[in-house]
Amino acid sequence: MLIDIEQALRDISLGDLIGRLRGQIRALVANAGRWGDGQHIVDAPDAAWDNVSQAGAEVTDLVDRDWAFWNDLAKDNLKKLKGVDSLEDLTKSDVNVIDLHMALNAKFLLNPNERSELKKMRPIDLAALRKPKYLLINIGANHGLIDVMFARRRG
Amino acid sequence: MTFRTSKNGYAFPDAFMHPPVMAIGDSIYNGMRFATITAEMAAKSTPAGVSRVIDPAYPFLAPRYP
Repeated sequence: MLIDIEQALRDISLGDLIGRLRGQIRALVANAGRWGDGQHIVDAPDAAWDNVSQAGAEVTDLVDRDWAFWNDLAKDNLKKLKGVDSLEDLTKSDVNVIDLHMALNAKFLLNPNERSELKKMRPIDLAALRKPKYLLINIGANHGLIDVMFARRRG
Repeated sequence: MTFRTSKNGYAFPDAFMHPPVMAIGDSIYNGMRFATITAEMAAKSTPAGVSRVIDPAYPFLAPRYP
């Protein structure tokens, strides 16, 4: 979803670097719009996933952040993304692509049909609500990984 | 920590209750690679494989990314 970095790197051409980058920015903007337009994208009103492991998650995301948090973050960044058509536009905008990527992913996983009853649910609450026989938890790799690899934030 | 409950007492249908396995965590556990995820990748995630071992008859509900 949103960004396919592997494909983007394959598509880069030094012969048409600017053109290819512009194409990728346009694809990103179109893709983000499709995910974030509030339309129900899963045709099942009670849809839920057994795996709600989210993009970029750190420990706090499992126990502190609910669907409403991610929905607000996505809306804010989608608003800033409006009118972006080139790398220059994107650089000048206040869009945080990492935040947008994480927010769209979390929104879809936690509450795919945006049910109002599930707005305040965090990943840990969904597990408590559905009572699985086993709960698998994998967390920790993103503590520092996103900052160093993608966001250029160093401690 | 107190678990939150759904608003207005909303409950998932019985078919969604008590799955053999649920997973929470980061995207590596959901099959994501290079910031890319598809329904096919999610269906091959580690928790999906664990679920197949624990209960082969249960259709693990991996996210169906459109």
